[in-house]
Amino acid sequence: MAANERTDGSNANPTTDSDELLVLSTVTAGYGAGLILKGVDLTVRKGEIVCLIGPNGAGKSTVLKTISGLLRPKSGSVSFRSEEIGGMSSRQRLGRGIVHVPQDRSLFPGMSVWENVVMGAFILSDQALIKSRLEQVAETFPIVANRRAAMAGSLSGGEQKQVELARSLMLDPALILLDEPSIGLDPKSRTAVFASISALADSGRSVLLVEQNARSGLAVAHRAAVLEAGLVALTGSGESLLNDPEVARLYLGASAKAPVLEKLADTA
Amino acid sequence: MRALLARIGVVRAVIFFLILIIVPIVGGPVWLINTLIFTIMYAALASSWNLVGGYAGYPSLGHAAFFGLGAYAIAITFNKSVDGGYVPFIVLPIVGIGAALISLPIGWVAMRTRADVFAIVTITLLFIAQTLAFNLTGVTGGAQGTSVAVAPFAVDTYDWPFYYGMVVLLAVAMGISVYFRRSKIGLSLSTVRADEEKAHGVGVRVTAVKLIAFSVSAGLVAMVGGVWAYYVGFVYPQFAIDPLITIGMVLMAFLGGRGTLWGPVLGAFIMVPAQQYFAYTFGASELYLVAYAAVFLIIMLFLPRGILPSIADRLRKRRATANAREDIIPAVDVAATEGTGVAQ
Repeated sequence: MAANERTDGSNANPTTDSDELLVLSTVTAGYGAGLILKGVDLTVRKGEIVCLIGPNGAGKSTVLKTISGLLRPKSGSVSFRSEEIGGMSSRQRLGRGIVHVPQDRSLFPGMSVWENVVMGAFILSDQALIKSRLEQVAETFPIVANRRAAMAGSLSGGEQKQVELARSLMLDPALILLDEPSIGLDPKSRTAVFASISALADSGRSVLLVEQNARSGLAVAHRAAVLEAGLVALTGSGESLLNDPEVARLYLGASAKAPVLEKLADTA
Repeated sequence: MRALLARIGVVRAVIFFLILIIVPIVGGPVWLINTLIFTIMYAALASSWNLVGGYAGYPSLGHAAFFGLGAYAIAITFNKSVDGGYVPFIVLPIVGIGAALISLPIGWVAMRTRADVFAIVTITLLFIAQTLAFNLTGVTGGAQGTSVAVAPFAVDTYDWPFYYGMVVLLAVAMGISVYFRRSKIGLSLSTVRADEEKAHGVGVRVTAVKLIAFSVSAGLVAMVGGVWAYYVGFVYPQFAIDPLITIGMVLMAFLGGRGTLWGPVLGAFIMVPAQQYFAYTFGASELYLVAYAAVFLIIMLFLPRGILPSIADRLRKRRATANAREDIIPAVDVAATEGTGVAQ
C-alpha cells in the first residue's frame, strides 16, 4: 500500500515534469443533468501506458470520451501538451494526436479492411503522407495487407481489434485511448492485443487503457489508477496495484467478500 | 481498372444525355415528350432526394415542401408576365439557393433525429407547408391557387424549354451526385449513414456534411418545382405540396437503388411511364394506382435492395464463387471507396 497514493489532494501530483502529455484536473462530466465524473485528476506521461480500472459505472469510458472530445467536460481542465483542449471538437483533438478506440466495434462493417484503415487518416489530405503511413501500418499489422479486401464486418473480434489498432496509428498519434480492447476476445487474441499495446508504448506513444480485465491491464501498464464513482481513488504503478491486497480483493477476483458498496461508502 | 470504369461511366452518361437531347428534335408524338418531361422531372427529383436519403441515409419525406416552395416562388414572381419566356429559367438558381438557405435551419433541427423519427418530422414539414399554402391567401392565393403567365413560345416547340430545363436539372443533380461520390463529402456521408458516433470518431464533420446534403438536395428539388410550376401553369397547394410527389421520388430512388448514381434515374424511367400507361389503360378509375403499386412490390420482392445494388450483389457473388481469391471486388458502396484516393 505504501507505493500507492491516496488522491486526497495533498500528494496527488508531486511532480509537474515536462514529460506530462495529458493532464486532467478536477474534470467533471456527464450526460444530461447528472455527473458521472466528479472531479477526476489524471496524468499520462510520454511513452507511458496508464491503465484505468474500476467497477462498472465508475466512469472509465466517460474519462476517455472526455479526452477524445465525444463528450465535453462540464468543469475542470483537460490539457494536452500544456494546451487546454476541453472545448475542442473531436476532429481538432484528432489533429493534435489523440486517437480514441472505443469499446464497441468501431470499424465500418460495410467497408473493407483497407478502406477502414484509410479512414483513420480521414482528416489528412496529403496523399503521399497517407500512403507512407499505410505502408508503415501494414508492416506493423500484417492483417491490414493480408486481408485488405475483406469486409471489416466479416473478421473475427480479435482481427477487428487488430485493424482498429492499425487504424488508430494512421494519424501517428501521441496518445491512444483504448477502451476495453480485450473485451470479448479469446485468450490468444487477447495476448496478441496486449502485445500490440506494449509495442505502441515502445514506439514512444502513450496509451490510456481502460480494462475490465484488470490483471492483464495492470500487467502491461506502467502506472494505473482506480476509478470509483467518478473519482480517482487510488494511483500507483501497475505492479504495485496488482499486488495491492485491496485492489486484488475488489478487482482481481480474490475472495471478494466485502461488497463493492461498502468500499464506495468508505471513499465517499 | 478504375480509370476504365470511370471512362465507361462517362460514355454511358454522354450517350444517355445525347439521347435525351435528340428525342424532341427527331420528333415524336406529343404524349411521348409530355411523358418524358415528367419522367425526367422525377429522375431529377429522385436523384436530388438521393443526396440526402441515399448517401446520407436520412429518408426525408418532406421534400415536396421544397418542391412547392420552388413552384410558388416562380408562380408568384411571374404571375403577370414572363417577358420573353426565359426569365423564369434564368432566375431558377436564385430559387435554388434561396430554398437551400431556408432548408438549413429546418435540416439543423430535423437531422437531430434519425431514421423513423426523421421521416415523421419531415412529413410534418410537408403538411405544415401545405397548410401554410392554403392559409396564406395573400401570398399563395390559398385554395384558389395561383397561376404563371403563359409563355410566348411557338406552339410546335412549346414543350421544348421545359423539357430541356428538366434535362439540365437532371444533369446538375447527377453531376452533384458524382461530385459527392468522388469527394470527401461522399465518404463522410457514407460514414454518417453507417454510424454517426463512429464518423465523429474518425474526425468527420457530421453536422456540417449532413446539412450540406440536406440543403443541396432541397435547393435542387425547389428548382425542379419551379420548372414544373411554369410548365403546368397553375399551382394549387394540394398538387404542389403533394405527399405523392414525396412518395414518388422516394419510391423511385428505392426501386432503382438508394445511394447509387443511376438507381434513381432508372427508378423514374420505370415508374413514371408505368404510372402513365396504367392511368391511360385503366382510365379514370383509381385502379391504376393498384397496378402501379404492384410493379413496385414485385420488383422490391425480387430485388429488395433496389435494382442496381441487387444486380451488383449477384454479379459479385457469381464472380466471388468463380474465383475465390483474395482480390475479390469488395461488396462496398462505391461512395465509400471513392474519394479516398489511396484506396486502390
